[in-house]
Amino acid sequence: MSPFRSIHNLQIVYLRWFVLSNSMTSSHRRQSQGMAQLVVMLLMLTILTTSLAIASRVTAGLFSQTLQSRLRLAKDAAEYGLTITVHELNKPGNRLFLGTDWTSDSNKGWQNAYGNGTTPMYGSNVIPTDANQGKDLGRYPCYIYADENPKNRIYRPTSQAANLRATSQPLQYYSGNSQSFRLLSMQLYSGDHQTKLNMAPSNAISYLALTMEGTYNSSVNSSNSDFTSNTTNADLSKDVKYTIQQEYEVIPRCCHTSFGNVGGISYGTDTTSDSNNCPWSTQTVWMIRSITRTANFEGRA
Amino acid sequence: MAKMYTPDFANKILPRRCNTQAFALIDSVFASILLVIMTASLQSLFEISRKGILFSNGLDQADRDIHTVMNSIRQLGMTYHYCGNAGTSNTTACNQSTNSLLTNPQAYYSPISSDLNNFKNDCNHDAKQGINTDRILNGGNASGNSGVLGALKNIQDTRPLNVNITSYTQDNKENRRIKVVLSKSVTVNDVTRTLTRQYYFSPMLALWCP
Repeated sequence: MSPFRSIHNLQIVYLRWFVLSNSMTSSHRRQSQGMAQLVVMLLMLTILTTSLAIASRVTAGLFSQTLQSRLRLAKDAAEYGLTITVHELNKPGNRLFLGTDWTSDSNKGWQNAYGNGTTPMYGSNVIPTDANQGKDLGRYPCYIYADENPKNRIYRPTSQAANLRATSQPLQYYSGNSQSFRLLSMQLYSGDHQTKLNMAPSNAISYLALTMEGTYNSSVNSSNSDFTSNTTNADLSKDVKYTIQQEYEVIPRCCHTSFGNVGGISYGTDTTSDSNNCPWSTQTVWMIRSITRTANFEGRA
Repeated sequence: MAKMYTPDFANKILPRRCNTQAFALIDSVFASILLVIMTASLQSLFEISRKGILFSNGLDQADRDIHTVMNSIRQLGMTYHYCGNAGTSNTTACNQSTNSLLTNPQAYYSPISSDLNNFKNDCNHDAKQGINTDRILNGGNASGNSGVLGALKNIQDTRPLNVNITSYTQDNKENRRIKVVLSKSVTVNDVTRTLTRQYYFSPMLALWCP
């Protein structure tokens, strides 16, 4: 029934009462005072309670929906982090890191290999002359682009990759859109997926497990540029986090080649590449290739 | 014999007995006002909730739509491979069976031996003058209408599920990593909000480059 109809009915009741009440005594009138009001109040209290219950349910639903959406954003951030970390280690200049013992010299193995930015980890910064290109490449940096003229590009290792295993407190990188990620752990395993390794072997594939935490925080200024450190005054109570652990296949191969032979097994069509016996005395490099396992999804707000 | 008590509300239900008990005038007026206020409040509460639910559902659906398109792009990165001197995601154009991605992913991405040198040469032509010049990404055609870039452009033009690809730019040259920015606008009751998501990817094929 519409509210206007209700009011109309009440008006009819009131008029009927007004006519009839002329014949009533004053004692009757006193007896009825307050009774209808009490009933109406009880009725309204019931309606109010029901309304509050509905409103509370609706609000809880909306909150849950918002949280789901933010969890998706946090999951996206964790996936960016995994993609970017894997690509960092796959950069031509960083492909020796996985074959370097990171635990040496008080866990500064990678930083020392990087040489604090002064010495390329490939041992030489000399670009081979045209006459020497294709010969004795082991003496030269593992330069990747050999088809251009002049051949003057050498990709050096990056500090971002060298610091992946060095810092005690994982760095948090902002990727814009109020999203950030940080690498919680990194561990190499041998072919059995169980034995922990400090460096990847050159004659067999190994596995790299990465655990990445993605965060969405609506209080972080979305105009932050990519990969800045956390200098914002983020309200940490608004953090929504999602953690993903993934395991990747690490395949050794030779510098200047595509995937080929590893321990007698073919991992590609490049017959010039034998990871344990590289041609032209070139170095073995390690590539992170496909995802083998994904596990331990965890979301929290 | 004691007189039987008759509740006041019974008079409303049974008008013929109204002559014994009735509302006070102030009761009816006060109750009417309260009921009107309560009804109006309830109506606005449900209207606000309804709009909130509609808006929230719209945003959630937009987010899911964007992620559906993201999955298409992820699939594109997985299926893109090298056939006949140029990258393609059309497996029928190659000599490899369509299900080799599942049964033999290694063979799926590896260029055939006779094409390996062409593949390596194409790898050497990375994006020196813009993303379109990368021969692995552009499928051998610098117009940007083929290869991975052509497929992205196609998604951008067709706008599946009304999702816009705002931009796709080179994020990292060495790894041929592309940053794709996707967005979708939701309008409910003349209020528009645009959701923006970004996605980083590089085709698996790029890993086969020296």
